[in-house]
Amino acid sequence: MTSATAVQTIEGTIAFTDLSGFTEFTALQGDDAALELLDLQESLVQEQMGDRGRIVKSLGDGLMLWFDDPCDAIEVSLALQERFEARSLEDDLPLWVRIGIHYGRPVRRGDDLVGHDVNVAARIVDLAAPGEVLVSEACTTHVTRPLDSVVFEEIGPTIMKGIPEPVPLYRVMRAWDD
Amino acid sequence: MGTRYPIPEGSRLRVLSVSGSVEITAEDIKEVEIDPSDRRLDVSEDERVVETRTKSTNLHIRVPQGMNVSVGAVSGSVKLHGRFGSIKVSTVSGHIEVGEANGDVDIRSVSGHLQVKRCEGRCRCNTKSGRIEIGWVGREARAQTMSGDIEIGTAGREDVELRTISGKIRIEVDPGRHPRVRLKTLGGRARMEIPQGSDFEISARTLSGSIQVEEA
Repeated sequence: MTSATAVQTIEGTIAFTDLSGFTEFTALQGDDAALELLDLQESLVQEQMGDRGRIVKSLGDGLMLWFDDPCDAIEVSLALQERFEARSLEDDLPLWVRIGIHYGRPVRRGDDLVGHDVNVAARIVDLAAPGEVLVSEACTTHVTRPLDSVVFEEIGPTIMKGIPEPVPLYRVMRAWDD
Repeated sequence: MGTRYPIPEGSRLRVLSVSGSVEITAEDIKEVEIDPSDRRLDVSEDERVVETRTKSTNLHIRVPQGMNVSVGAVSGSVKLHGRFGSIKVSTVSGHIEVGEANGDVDIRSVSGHLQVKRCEGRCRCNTKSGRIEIGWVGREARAQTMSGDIEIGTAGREDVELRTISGKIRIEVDPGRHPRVRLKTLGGRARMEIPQGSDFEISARTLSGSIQVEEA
């Protein structure tokens, strides 16, 4: 006889970051420089996120993040891109990070999160450009407070591999970027 | 010969394709024609969007010149011939070719080459592995690829921001326009062959390729 395991779903916001060109950077600059770049990414994320979210796990050259509030996810992501860009110019490092955000109900597996909504978030970051933040419509509809100087620009219909229905996506920008 | 559909004035065509190529031609016509003829064209409640979907068929669509078009595809190329309004295309594993746009162009692919002949508005191109060619852009341009060359012609009126991880970057600027430049390459040479100025800014970065800025 086997015992049933209770499945615990939680509702909130999943974000993925992905450091573009990490493989090429490592080949050009060596392992030590690559490790420094990863550490820099993680420390900037920790610093910017504070207690508004948590790092679920590290994925080689990217991170999976969790936020209860989609507004926090969006604000932190935009602030992160600004920090990444500033450091990238300052230190001549290719800290070119893509961020994809989705709102949903993933399943807890220890400290990890799994499920359809996690897969959708992972597909979103695949479509994001370095320096860009893309969010799903599911995320924008759960924005419950005004976000200062933030604009959403629809990027058109998106069909993702393995996801049966189109996922409308939006580019999130500071109003002054437009 | 496909089926013709009347469309509300000012509406945007939206095409969703899981597999198969999408080819759209802008012509001097008033209606939208879809081939194969068994495809439906649905009109949104507010009449701002007309939409067709396919799972596995190659689509050939004719639209009025200047029409705004959005395409979402998974696999298969997307080709837009003729002159359109604004264009938005996203595909997972197909090449994207765009003729001319009076408005903005925003195209992206996970693994495909991107080509835009002429864009009067703002142009954004993003691919993970593929080259990017933008024949001429009238306003701001942003193009990013992880593995591929970038070639662009610019009117030199608004800023140009280009990034590739491994590839060359070549920028042609319309005569008489003089950019401020920020060119950075970790493993190549940067050559600026026109006088610098303050008309607009070019920011070009590559990890392992050369950068060249020259007059068109």
